[in-house]
Amino acid sequence: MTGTVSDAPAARADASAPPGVPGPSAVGRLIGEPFAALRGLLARPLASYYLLVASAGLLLVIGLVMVYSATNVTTSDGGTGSALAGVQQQGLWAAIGLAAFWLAQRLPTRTYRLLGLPLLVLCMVFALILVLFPDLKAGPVSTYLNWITVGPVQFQPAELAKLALMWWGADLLVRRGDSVTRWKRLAMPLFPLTALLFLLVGVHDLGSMLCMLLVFLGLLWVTGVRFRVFAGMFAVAIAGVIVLIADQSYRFQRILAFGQMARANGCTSPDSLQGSCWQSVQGMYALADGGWFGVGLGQGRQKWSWLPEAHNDFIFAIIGEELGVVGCVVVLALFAVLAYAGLRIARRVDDPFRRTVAAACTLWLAGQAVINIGAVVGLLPITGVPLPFISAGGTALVVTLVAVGMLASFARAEPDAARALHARAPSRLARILWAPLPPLPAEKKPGSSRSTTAVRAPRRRTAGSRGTDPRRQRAGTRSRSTTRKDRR
Amino acid sequence: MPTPRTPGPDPRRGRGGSDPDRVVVPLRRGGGTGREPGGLADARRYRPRGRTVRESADPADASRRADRARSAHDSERAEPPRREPTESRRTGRGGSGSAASRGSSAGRGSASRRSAERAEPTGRRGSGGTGGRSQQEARDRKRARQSAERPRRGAGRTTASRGAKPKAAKPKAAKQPKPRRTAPASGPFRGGVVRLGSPGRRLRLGTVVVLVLFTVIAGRLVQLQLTDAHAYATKALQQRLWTVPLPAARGSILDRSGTVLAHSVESRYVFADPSMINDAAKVARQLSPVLGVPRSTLEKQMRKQTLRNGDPLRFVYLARGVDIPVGDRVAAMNITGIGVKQDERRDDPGHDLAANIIGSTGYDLSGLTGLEAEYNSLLRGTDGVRKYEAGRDGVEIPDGYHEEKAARPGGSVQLTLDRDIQFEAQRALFAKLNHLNSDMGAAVVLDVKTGAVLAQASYPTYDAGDVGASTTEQRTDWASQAVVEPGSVHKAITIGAGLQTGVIKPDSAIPIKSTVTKGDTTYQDTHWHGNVKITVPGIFAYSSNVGTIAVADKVGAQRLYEYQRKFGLGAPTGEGMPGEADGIVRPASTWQGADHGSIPIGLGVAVTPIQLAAAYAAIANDGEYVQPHLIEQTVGPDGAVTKPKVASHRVLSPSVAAAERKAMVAVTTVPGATGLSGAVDGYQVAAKTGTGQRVVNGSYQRGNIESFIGMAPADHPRYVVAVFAHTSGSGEGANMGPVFQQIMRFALGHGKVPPSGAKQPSFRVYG
Repeated sequence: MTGTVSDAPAARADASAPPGVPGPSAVGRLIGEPFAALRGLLARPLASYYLLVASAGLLLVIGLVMVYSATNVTTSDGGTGSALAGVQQQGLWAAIGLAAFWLAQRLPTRTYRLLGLPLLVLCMVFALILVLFPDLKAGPVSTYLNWITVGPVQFQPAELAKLALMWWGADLLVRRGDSVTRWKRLAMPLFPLTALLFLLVGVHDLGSMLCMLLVFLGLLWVTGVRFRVFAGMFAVAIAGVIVLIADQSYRFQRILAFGQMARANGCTSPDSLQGSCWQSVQGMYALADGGWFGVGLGQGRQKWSWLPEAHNDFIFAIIGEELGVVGCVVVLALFAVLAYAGLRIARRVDDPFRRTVAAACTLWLAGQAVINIGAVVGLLPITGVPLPFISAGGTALVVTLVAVGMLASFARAEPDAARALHARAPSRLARILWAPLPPLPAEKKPGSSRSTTAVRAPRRRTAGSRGTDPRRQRAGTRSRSTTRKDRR
Repeated sequence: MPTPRTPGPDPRRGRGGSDPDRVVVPLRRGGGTGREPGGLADARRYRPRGRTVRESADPADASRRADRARSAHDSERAEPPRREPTESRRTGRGGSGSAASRGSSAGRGSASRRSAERAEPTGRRGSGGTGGRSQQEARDRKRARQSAERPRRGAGRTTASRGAKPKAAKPKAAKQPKPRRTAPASGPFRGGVVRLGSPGRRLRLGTVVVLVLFTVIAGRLVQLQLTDAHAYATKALQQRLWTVPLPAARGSILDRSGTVLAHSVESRYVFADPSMINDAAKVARQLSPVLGVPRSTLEKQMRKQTLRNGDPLRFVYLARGVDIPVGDRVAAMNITGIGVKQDERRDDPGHDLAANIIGSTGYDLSGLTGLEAEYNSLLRGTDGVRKYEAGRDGVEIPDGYHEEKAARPGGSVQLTLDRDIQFEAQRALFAKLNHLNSDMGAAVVLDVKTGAVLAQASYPTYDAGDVGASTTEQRTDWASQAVVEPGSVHKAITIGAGLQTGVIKPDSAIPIKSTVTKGDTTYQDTHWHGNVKITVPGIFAYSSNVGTIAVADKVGAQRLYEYQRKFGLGAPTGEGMPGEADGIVRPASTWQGADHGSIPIGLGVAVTPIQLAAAYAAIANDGEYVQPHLIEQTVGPDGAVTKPKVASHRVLSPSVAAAERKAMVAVTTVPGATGLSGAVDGYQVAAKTGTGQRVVNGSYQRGNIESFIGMAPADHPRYVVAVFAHTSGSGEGANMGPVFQQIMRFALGHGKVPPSGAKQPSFRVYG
């Protein structure tokens, strides 16, 4: 990941390059010629798109393989179930997710912006139902804690709520534009509604709430909200989490377990093994079993009912056991590429909504991965967050793939990418089968280089849209060029 | 970190101009962005312009505000109600309500608005009481003054930081965000407007943070492998390793024909977890008919209990060793808290058949008494062990570690017992002794030629399948463990010694008086006689004490003692039963007084029934003593057959033995003889009755030990049958005669021994 780590200086060098002069970029100076090929690849207009789709696709495939590996022994246990039962279900959800990916890649941002609020309200209604009736059975509809089952379909509204919060929040913040510098404009109605959503979801599902918190933080972060707001929210969040922990004693046990893990050998004594430490320790056992190169795919031992949630929250431990440190690092690298690609998209798109959503979305996925894996490797307490793409879980997978589809459409809407796609002029069939052409960016000022525009555009855009800049203005590039002209 | 080699505009400054964050920067840094090298000059220029720009209009700023005004107009469609107050406040203060005039008034409007914005999030200055407009304006003005002063203070710092810039300007990813992060809170901005952070920078910072987090996790994985992995993996393996003992099937105990006397069968045990049973009465009602255990017992067993350590009782046996179908039926009931597991049961198909010899086993099927205990190590075999990796639920993991040491099943013990003769012996003994209300008895059937014990019955006995219900007396094998004074049956040894030593001849007539006194005791016979000459058959037939003592006198104490030992008295026979008694035979040197009279007639000497049976077998076997043995052979786990060594030695010459046998036939033939009740039709039976006593706890037991030992056919004996019993009567072994007769007749028939057909010899009792 040397290439990605050095991304920031690279962009900076680009920014500093005199307009219109391509010149050697700082990347070249920084990391030298051996990486020229990589540099060249990264400079290609659709690099973000391919990085995103490739990493997400590989993670999805790894996920299906690992879900099969983790479930085939428990589902076939006792000869009662098929060894394929787990992966069949997950595969079905993955197919639905791919369809959702396809759809999400086609949708214009307008749709997302429109969808936000209704979906949010719907999710809150669902969450309210779950809070009020945690164990309901009424005809084909039944609820259990986080799940709502309608006929054969079972889904978690909390997962949808992540998307809803992202779309609605981004739309709201972008519409507010620079006026969010004022506390009231920022907080109303974003904060109370989000807090309400957190409360409704967090009652049963701290993990999903944490993911939503990531989304929320991502939104505010990329909007540019001041640090003291984050500090304040951090304090509130700590208080909230403490309340939720106090509400559900098992969460407290998990935290204690983490504390014990942190202490040397705390969780490895036979006594502690039986309690809340069990999962942590079994996860560690799995990682230790795997060693550097793993015991081999399908050969894991800890999935034989030793490790709870081996196919779900702790699937990374199974990866570690079967594929070793090497496999873990590959998965981490894929997540890193995904995160890099997502944030790169956010940096390159010139539409604030796309930027905000892309950033929030990427931070959510990456953050969720970090929280999950961090818990497995013993760096963080266990919070019950699934590993995106990989953990078994239908709604989560579909929602993740929707997010990736959306990111993919944003990647295509990067100015350079859009131009390249238009220049490529795909056939009508390809556009119908895969994705429509992204909107072309407005013609840029002659003389400015492509890369400069791509990097500068968002900044300049914000500059131009300070205050009560409406989205129509923001969507276009008119104001930007005007601004620049004025400046010069 | 290479520094930018190409001279050019400072990247930091260059960006500062175009950075959206720094829209306000013109206020601070003026229009100098990107055009001039930074430094003090820049900072100096900044101060006055910062104020001017804010107060009046920078062209770029003004146009942006115009844009904003336009866009605000547009966005009112999006949120008209919310927009309204803001707009009115802003425009109102500017002195104009029309959209057209906004452009010109925007300078002031925005300035005051920014002041208000600053007031809102930073402090509670403005939030406390938003009073009238004039107050507000006054405050604004005051703030404007303050803010005009503040940059002056801040400018110094800005200048300072600028001065340090060439260093900081290095394209260093990690440090880059730093100044930005601190910027909003630091000097010059405190008085300025609240700004939004730059998305670009924040995204880059976010990228770095996320990638660093992933790197930390990767580092943690590596660290784990380098440090704790081995210990964890070892513990994990230990945890997954299941060690299952593979119990070796216990060997069988067979009779001489290979029929099973005791063996192990697979069975089931039914257990309960009382903590999981809520309605014990209902469960008991369901289980009772299946298990055959009373409902009340089951219910009591399934009662919830708390152990001494405070834990609830989680396991209790409801039934052990139940048949597999019963276990299956219980399992099929699928009752919560009731479980069925594999068990092994020691099955004795004959129940009390040879139970005293076979003995019993405990719950773990190790032998406790009898041959089960004696041959435990052979029967038990060697338990195997299976070690394998398994899931938490015990399911073995394929391809996991697996080590299996197969169990070596136990060997078998084949007895010399014939179960039919054994049965008959037990039956006959039981029938008689039960009738007599006896408290102990024994019957032994020996094969004369081989010394094999064909039957060894004890009374009372017990059901080997229900050891728990038995008493010690019931479990004792009296044939090898009862130490009794034999009484008259000992006379065969005395007479045998006399004949072998030649002090008497088979046809001798020994002159005797009616009584004889030894020490302080006077001995007499039960059949009264005066001074007569008594023949050897006569001594046997009437069990003459006086005659026997006379013979013993001729033999001498020492030689009699030697013959006692030769006949196998005073030492365990080693037939194979554990705990066999020695008996008591006193060396001649210790004899004194009455001993010279009592020992020859079987008092003052103690024997076990098996010892005497073996002694008679020596007479039957033409004088060759063959060690009696109960064990035909042992079959090891590998099939190796081991036969016990059978010792033998000569006691009497064949002719002497034949003569004595012949004389002993008188016991069952001579009219008025003691053993008539033991006669077997069609066979010549050489026998002897006896009446002795048994010492229990240091004193003689009330009642007598009646005995009857005989062999048939007398001319060519096949079997020796010895019957001993404690009875309340005083009859000279007469009570045991019928028992002997039944057993002997059965044994002869079972052994397909043809009746001799020879005429019963006639005996002269008195010569």
